[in-house]
Amino acid sequence: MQPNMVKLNTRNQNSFWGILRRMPRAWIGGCLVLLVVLAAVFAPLFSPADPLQQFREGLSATGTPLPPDGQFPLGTDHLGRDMLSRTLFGARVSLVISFIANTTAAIIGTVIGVLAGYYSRAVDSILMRITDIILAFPAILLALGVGAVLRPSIPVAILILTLITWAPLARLVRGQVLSVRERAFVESARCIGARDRRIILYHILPQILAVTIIWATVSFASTILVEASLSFLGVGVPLPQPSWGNMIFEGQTRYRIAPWMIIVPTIAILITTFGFNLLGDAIRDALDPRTSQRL
Amino acid sequence: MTAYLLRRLVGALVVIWGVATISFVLVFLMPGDAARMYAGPRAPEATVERIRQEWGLNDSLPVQYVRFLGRAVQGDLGRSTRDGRPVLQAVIERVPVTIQLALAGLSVELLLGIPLGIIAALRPGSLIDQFTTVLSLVGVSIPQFAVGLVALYLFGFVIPIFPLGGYGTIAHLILPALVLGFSGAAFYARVLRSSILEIANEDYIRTARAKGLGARAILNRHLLRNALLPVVTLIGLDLALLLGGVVVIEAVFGIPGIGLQAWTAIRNQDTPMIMGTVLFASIAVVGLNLLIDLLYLALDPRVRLNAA
Amino acid sequence: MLPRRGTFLFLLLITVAMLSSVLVGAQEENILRILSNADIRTSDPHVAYETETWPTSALFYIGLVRWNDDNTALIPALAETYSVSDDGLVYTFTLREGVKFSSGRDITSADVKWSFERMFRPETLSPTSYMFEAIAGVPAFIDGSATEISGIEIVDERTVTFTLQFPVWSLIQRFALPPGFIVPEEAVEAAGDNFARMPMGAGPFMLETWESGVRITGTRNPNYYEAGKPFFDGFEMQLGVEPSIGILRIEGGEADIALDFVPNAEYPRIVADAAISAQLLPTAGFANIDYMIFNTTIEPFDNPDVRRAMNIAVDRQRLVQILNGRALPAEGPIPSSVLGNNSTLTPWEYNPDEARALLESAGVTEGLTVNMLVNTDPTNLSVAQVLVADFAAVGVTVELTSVDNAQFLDTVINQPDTLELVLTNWYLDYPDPSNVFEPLLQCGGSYNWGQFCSESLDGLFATANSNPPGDARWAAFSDVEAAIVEEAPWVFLQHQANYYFTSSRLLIASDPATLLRWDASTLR
Repeated sequence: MQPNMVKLNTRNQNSFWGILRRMPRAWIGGCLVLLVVLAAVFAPLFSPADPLQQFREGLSATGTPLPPDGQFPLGTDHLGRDMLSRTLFGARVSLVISFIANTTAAIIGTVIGVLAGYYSRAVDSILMRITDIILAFPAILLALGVGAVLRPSIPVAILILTLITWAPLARLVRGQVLSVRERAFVESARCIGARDRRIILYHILPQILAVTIIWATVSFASTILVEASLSFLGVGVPLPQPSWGNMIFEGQTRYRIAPWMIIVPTIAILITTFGFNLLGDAIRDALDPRTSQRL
Repeated sequence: MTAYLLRRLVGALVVIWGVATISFVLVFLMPGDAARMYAGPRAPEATVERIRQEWGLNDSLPVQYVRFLGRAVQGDLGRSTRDGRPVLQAVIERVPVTIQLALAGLSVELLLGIPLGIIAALRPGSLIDQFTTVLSLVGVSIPQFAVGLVALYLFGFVIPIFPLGGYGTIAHLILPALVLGFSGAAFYARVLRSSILEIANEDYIRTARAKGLGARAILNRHLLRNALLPVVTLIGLDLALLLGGVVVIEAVFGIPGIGLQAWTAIRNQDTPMIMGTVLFASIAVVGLNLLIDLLYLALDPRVRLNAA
Repeated sequence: MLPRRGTFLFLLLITVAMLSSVLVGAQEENILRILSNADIRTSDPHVAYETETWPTSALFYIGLVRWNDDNTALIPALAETYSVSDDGLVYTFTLREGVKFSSGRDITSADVKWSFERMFRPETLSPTSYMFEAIAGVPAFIDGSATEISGIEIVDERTVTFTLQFPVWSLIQRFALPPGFIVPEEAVEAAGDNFARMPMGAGPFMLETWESGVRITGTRNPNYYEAGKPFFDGFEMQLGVEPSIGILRIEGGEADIALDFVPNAEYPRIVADAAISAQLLPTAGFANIDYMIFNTTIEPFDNPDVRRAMNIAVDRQRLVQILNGRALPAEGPIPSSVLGNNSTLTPWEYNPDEARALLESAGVTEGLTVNMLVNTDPTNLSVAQVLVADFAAVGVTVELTSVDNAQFLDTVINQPDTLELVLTNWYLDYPDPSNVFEPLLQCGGSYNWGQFCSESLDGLFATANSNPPGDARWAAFSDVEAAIVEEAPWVFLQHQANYYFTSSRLLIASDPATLLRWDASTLR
């Protein structure tokens, strides 16, 4: 890395936005994300039905889900509910959960990573041992353990997702801080007597922010999927409230009689994660065309 | 150097101990008890109480914890409360299965991911580059359980090329390895691509180019070897994860690996077995991390200086 | 830096490691191929209780009596004859002459006594021994003050009597269940801690190999008590086969039967497909009821009117539809396949308007919010969501809490006071109405999580239960059921019909005691 690397917060900001604006990836990604967010916000407007309503005419005589048709544009699920409405309302739950969990994890991971990377051996080794423990911890056990001790609910799902997401970022950030710390401009700041807090806030954090933002966008996809596996374990979003995760959970064994029950929420996840990843990719390249995301 | 190794080793032990301790406390706090799961819902409370007594489940957390640690240090992990088998034996039986599946999955990831990554890096922005991006997203966005079921239905039943799940032959491993590798391959491709592009701008590559070396020669002699370093790191982390067990794939394909063992143990609150699988998984993670660091130490002189 | 050819070598090594493989033995024609999703934890009949472990233990063991071919009466198995005294207190069994364990050793009345005593030994940790607790001398044997069970007497080599503390008319049915199977002392001694996986009894098959989590194989027991049975030379049970994959395997001719019931997602497809629908085998007996428990100690569920209102708020026809027609709506707690059920009960009429009116007159106004506990079983989750919608329609908001089975059991058994509503199912161990009332509805019953208690009902039950099997008993129980329905301690939902899926070549019967009758299985 070179000292003249483009930064988020300084006078080079314009050029960052300038580069970003010229990238088709950024536009496509941004539009997809916007689309999904709008769908979530205006779910009640776009939904043809109540996502919880179990239509009598929504099941065949033998009780199987109906394929897409006029009344149910994306078909129905095993209880005769409208898949389109559930997917739209599910967007709210899935996006909110993933957003909060990811943001919290990003903050925790960054703070721990920066502290560990910046401060002495003692702080570093204590924080990194904790991180290592979380990394070496089987995620299922953590999820089930926490979910069992607290009763399953949306906040608990967020807590679990945060717990299993922050550690890899802390690792990553620490590595970045270690290399930034030795850089000339930090050294000079230290020489003119700047305090630790100032150095961290004004010199180190801006360098790290890019890594954090990129990481958070990329991990969005996996968070939504992990939420699905939480439903599988019984500690996810409580039914009958729809989330993309528990929709997949309810549909997965019906792959032969109602494949749309899996396909619809999967495509929703795909659009969202595709959008976030394109955007994340574009931001990374706009920040520095040559930086790569290391995990 | 020796001091460094020693320090790392102690650190690794601390991590394993930490994982074991937190797991133990979590399992202790989890509502529900192993005795009830063993006896089933219909057994009278007196029977369940007798089982609790027999297994020492009524002791306080510190007593149980110290007893567990004391035995574990001597290599005795106790017996499963679900089926009464010695935990160590059960875990050791499953390890080869898990290793086979992990290596098979990893080979698919590498065999697919590395060529894709190189091609994408040689032509950034090209169709194949875009393709790997999309592929990597599809890979992480599709639920493995459903993919596994559909793959088995299509390639085991409709077009019966592969066995319908189970374990034993190479043919049994191919489909799960493909499902497992599909989601990971594109990720390797992305990392390799970034890594190649970054190094391509380093001075020594420019020098090589200035000397008039062809693209192929540069790639083979200088670029690839260095660009693969982050891939090695990734392999380590990935392998550690795979060894920890892939519950969903194991469940769908009926592979008796460590992941399924852990999952069954957790559902039955089978504390000795939970601890056995947790210990194995954490040892795998910590051991592989240590191995990667040592590998770096051997490969990269700069790291060696720092460590000293 | 990596050595020059390092990457290539590394990849090669991995590929080779991946290629290292084991060959599976060729399938033999006359082998019964069984599948199970769960890893079988035990074959010990005194320890087993799950839907996969009971049929497994029946591969290796058998008891004194069994069900007849059309599941209508109990007939002698290892016993040649049996009799019950008129007061219902003494059961006498005479063993067949020369009947043997698969090892070839003769079974004597001492084996019978030892086997039942073993079930009650503390170290056996038997979860099902309570079924025989009525035998005289059991309490003293359990607390260690007696070294043998005085109520089990060896009359001679071939004759053994069981004396009870009080009459239990359904006891003879329990003798057909796995806890009543005869286990040889020397096999238990020889296996030590490993007896769960080293079965040896008098059942149709003998163990060959047991690879934990992978497969169990066995061969025909040449000493089986019925000449010419079993038909198959042996069996191979594959473990860890996901149920929907199991169906594919059976459809593809790779397996004969799965110990798992046909999953909801597969049932409608199989029924609709004329080519394979004949391969569905209904489970004999295994009568059951799906029901929703009210905590009858809390408001407003202590009021029978509220409970009745909730009963008519549920659209049972729709529940049956959700279950793909695989169920019968329930009028009361006792399944119609069980003698003693009241066939004159009128079906619950779905009437949300009346339910709402009833609730209002009982003082339950809009805004009642309660919690419903359910485990993570997919079928239960579907039913629970339908109930949530039905109750919402009459103004009762229900929040679902779905938890893993371990936590579910802990909550209902150890913290019944925290419960409001619980959705659950009950499978009868044996087809007698006492097996519903006693554990589920008696004051202080072990499975009575809603803490329902009515002394007058208990009195009715005690009277009904004192009748020996016969018309008087069934008539009395039918009155008990009518009285229960009047009190409506639960929302009675439905009786599910469960199915096994068998290969086109297999002919096998379902058995009320062991679920599958292995010795009756043949090729079509």
